[in-house]
Amino acid sequence: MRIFLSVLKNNYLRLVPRIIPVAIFTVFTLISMLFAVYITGVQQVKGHIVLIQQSASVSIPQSSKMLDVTVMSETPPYTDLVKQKYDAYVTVDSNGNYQIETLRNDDFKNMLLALLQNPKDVVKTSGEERGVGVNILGFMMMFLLMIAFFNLFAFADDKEQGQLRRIAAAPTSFGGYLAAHCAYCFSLLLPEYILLVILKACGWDIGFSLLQYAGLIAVLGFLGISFAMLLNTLIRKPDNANMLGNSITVLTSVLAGSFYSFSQNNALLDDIIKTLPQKELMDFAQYIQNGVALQHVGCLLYVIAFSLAMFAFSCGILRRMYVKMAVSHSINLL
Amino acid sequence: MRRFLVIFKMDLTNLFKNPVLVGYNTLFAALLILIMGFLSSGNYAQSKDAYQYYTVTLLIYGILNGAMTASNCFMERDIKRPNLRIIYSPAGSFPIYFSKLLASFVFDYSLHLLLLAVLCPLLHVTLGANSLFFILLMAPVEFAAAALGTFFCCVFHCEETTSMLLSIVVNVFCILGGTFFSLDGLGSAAAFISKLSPAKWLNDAFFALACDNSRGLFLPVLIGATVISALLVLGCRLFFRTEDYL
Amino acid sequence: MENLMNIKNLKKSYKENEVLKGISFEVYTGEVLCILGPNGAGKTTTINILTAALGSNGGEIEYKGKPIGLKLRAYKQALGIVPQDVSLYEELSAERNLRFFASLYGLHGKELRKAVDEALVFAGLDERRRDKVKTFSGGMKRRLNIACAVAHHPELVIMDEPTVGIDPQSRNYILDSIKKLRDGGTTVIYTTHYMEEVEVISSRIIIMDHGSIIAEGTKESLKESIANEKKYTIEIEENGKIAPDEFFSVEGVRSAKIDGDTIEITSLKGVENLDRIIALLCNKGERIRNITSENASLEMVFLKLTGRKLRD
Repeated sequence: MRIFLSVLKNNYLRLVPRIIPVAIFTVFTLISMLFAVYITGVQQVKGHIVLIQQSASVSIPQSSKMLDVTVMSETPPYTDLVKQKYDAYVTVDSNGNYQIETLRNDDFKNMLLALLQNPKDVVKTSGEERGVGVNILGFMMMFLLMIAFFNLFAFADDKEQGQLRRIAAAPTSFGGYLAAHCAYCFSLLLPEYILLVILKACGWDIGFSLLQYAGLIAVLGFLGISFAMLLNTLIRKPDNANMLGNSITVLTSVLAGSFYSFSQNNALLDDIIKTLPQKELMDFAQYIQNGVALQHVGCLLYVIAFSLAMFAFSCGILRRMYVKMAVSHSINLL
Repeated sequence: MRRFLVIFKMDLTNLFKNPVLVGYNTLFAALLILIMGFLSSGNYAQSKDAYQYYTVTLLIYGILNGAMTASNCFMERDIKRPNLRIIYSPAGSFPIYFSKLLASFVFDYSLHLLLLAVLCPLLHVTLGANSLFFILLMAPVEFAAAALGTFFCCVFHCEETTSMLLSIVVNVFCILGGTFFSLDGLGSAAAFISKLSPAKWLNDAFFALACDNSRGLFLPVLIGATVISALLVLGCRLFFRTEDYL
Repeated sequence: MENLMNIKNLKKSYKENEVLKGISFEVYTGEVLCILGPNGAGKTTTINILTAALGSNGGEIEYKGKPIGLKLRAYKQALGIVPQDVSLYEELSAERNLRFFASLYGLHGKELRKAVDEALVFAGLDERRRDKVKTFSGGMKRRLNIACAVAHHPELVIMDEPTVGIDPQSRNYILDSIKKLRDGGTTVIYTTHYMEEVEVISSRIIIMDHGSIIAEGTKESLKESIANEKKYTIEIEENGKIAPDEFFSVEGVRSAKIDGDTIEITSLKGVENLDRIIALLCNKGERIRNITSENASLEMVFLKLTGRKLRD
């Protein structure tokens, strides 16, 4: 207990000169939450098209719930299709036939044609609509995982600069020392949670209850901490561990669909992505939204088990590197 | 000049000897392009259009992340002290930070060109009718990113803080700029917010070169990046004080 | 000896803290000038100003009769600096480190190769020249740290505590190297806390405290200042019976200090009073375990001038 409290207190003191990056992280997490709320509120049309009106006499379809139509007299540059600014350029000839220029696939072309011909049609969405809770969690995910690396600076510095060796040689609990670092990192997730409380108190719809968010953030935090600890244990230099960790976090968060759901067409890739704990957590959030969380609690358990495995592996290596070394050093002295 | 070249050569060597940095600018970047392109290829009739999108946007992501290469080159813990030993030499203080900047620029630029040389023919990605303009425009942007990293180091005196801040800033700008997915389809407000990101402007300029063979944004981006670089180098001169490192 | 550097009324303040209060001293060609002082005395600040890495708030520094600001590059060219921290590229070999730092001073080609070879021999690292610095022991790193400063044959070498944390063999090697430098005509300014090093290598000594120079001279002249004193250290079984003041009744006793079961008495040389001191103790019923005596040492001088109190 003594080592736990000492290390915890020491970490807070060491945080003081680094308070600015922590504040910046919190601000950016808030911005991402607000952005997530906004995006959920925006009606997601199925396509943004440009209608090139060559003849004034031809009647043109209007924007609808399913289709966003911009009328232009000239075809925009090809770049706008590549950049996904528009999904298609549609020209209506004098016979009322539609000529569609698009980079999208045939399914999209057919859907577009159907909507142009029958604007009141409703296109069924493939997959689930993401609610505001799922979006908030998704947008926060990358930042919370990145902040774990930053928060674990104390452990990383101890390892690199040799304090860890001294602590291991002391008659204290090594487990208590690691637990203190974990508790410290968890506590630094509080500002993000408080932001959610504030948003809720201001009347915003945040999707899930505060208790549900507490659980989700705790699990996400644990994932981040265990991953950060693993990389800092395996890699000597904290700078390299941070760089590698941030790179993997960005890639895996995007793959897991934290910001945007990509369509997956490859079964093998789908299976690989499903092994990502972020993906399982996003799926679990979706199940919470749909009210079937309890039946799919396996997703959550998977994330926790994954994190535990990384954490246990790190502890095992650290114990072998430091505790056993300290013991053998003591024996040599005797 | 000779002394500057000696320091520059050392900095460049230190960069190429860092496997994490080399991997980050090559393997990681290539992996990201391949994976993102593959994932979204289902939305397109031809997969090359997906790869076209992500090669350009993720190249810019990699270029902006070059700011962290610069901060690592300057003040990574193991090389900070020998780097600053140069303060005592007749070389002066300008080569200390400028050589890091230049070395980071050369390092990132050469690795990104290598990346394009490998990926473009493989993924059938075009850089425009005259790819020279695309490659030319990369240079001032790479330099500006390296200058940003060096400037942050001069201000914060610490690679750790610099990298963390830059990481947040670059990722946010790139997400808003449409690196991973276009915000244009998420409403007019999202499209407007996207325009606030420099990454968006860079994407537009490079896409115009690659897909439309249009050089409309070439000069504005070139001049803008050059002016920003000059201001940041001036900032380094103002903020870098040898006394802060004694 | 020729005057190499003239430091006049050097001042430095950090906000309200006056770190250097207008110090003045000279440096002569070919000497080893040792700067001593407790922590916080202003030694490192002085060194940093002399190396032109830090600006001063007043005073002048002249090198060969000219202010150093006039031709700063030429001045730095003539300097070799050994920083207190080992400042080497650990991932590179000893040879590569030397090549790099020597080339900053304008050496290249054959000249550079020759200088590197000589520096490696000077540091006793010729056989390890291709090994990475991270594989070196602490002593070897310190030797290389010095070699990087002298490879370009500077006229003046400034060393800031170059022997911190190394084994006696490496320390001896370094001190011998400094003697070689001195014998070769190089001027050395050296800061240290180790009196035995000063005893071995110094030509002149400056003692600083609280931003001022409190003593200056050769080791002999400084010892002279307390040469007429002799120190007795008496270990007794268990004190409780005698107070320091009581020793002043014995003729010649200048100071007396009791620290647990150890009594330190400073007495005038030439006054044979040891028997009376012993008699005093015996009369008080003290049992004496051990008596040692020493003549004036640099440590005595240092402690007398700066006091025994611990410094931050």
